[in-house]
Amino acid sequence: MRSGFDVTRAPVGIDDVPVRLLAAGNVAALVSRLPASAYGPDAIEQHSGTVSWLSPRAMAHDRVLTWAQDHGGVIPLPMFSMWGSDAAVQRSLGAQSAELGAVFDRVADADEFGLRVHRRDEIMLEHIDELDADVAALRKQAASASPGQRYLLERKLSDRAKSAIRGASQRMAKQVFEELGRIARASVSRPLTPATDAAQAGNTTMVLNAAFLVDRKRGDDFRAAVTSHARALEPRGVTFDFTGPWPPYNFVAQSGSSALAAEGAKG
Amino acid sequence: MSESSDLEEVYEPERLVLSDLVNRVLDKGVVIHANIKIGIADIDLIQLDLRVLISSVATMLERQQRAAATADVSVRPDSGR
Repeated sequence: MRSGFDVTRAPVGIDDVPVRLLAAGNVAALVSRLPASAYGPDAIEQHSGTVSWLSPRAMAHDRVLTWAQDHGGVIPLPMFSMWGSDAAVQRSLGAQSAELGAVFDRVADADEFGLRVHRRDEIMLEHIDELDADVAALRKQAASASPGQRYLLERKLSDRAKSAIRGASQRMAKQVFEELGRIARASVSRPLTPATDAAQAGNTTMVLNAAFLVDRKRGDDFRAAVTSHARALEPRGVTFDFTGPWPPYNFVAQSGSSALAAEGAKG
Repeated sequence: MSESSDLEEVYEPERLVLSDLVNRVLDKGVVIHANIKIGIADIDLIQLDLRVLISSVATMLERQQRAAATADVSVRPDSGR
C-alpha cells in the first residue's frame, strides 16, 4: 500500500498478530511477524490442505487487505508471501517500487467484484421453445407424430435440446460478461471450475466465472446492471452468484510478475 | 472442527464467498518474492470449494453490510502520493 495509513486501526492479522506498516520508498507493506516454526515451508505444506487450518488464516489475510482497500488502496500479495526480516521486505519492495506504483495507478479507487453464473438445465428446458426455433418445431412435430415416429423424434429432440441449452447459456454468459465489462474498468474471465458434488446435486453447470474491477464511483451502476441481468435471466434457468467488493486480487498481477519474483529471490 | 458434517449447516452464500476468498488469497496477487517455495500449488482449489468452512459468520455479515454501504464511502485518507 502507499504510506499514510493509521495502521493502529487495522484489524489483526493471522493468529491475531497486529500488523505493522513497513515503509520502503514510496510504498509500504502491511506486515506481521509469525514464528518460522509454525509458518515455515514444511509447516505450510503440511497444513494448507486442511480447510479448518486454512480458512481462519485466509479470512484474517483478507480482512487486513479489505481494511487497507477501504483506507486508500492496496496491492494484494498471495497469502504466505514471507520474508525473513524487515530489511528483506524493504529490499524487495524498494527494488520494485516503480512497478508497484504503476499497479497502484491501475487499480486506484476501484473495487473488485466476482460473478459466477451457472445454468440449471431443468429450468432452461422449460423455456426451450424460446431458446431455439428448431427445437420448438421438433417438439410440435413430435406431439402430433405416431408413437414410433415420436420415439425417434424425441431422441433427436433430446440431443438438440441439450446443445441448444449449452449454446444459449454460453451466449447469455458472453452477453453478461461483455455488458458488465463496459461498465467496469477491467474484467477478466477466469477458468470455469468443474462441477462439484454440490453442483451436480443441484444439476448446475458453471458458464461464467468472472472478476470485474469497477470504479468506486460506478459501483452502484455496476450493481444495478448485475441485478438487472439476474432478474432477466434467472427465471430462464441461469443463476448468479455475485460477491464483493474485494481488494483487486485479480487485477494486480502483471506480465513482469515472474521477473519480479526472480529479482526478489536474489535480494 | 469436523469438516463434512459442519458443511451441511453452512449457509450456501457464505460458502460461496469463502471459497471465492480462499481462491483469491492463495492464488492471486503480485508475487514479489520467491525465496520461500511453498507447496500451495498442490492444494486442489476445487476440493476447497467443496470443503470450505466458515469460522466466523460475523465477518461475512460485515462484508455484506459493507457491500451495501460502499456507495457511502466518500472520505478517504490521503493516499500519500
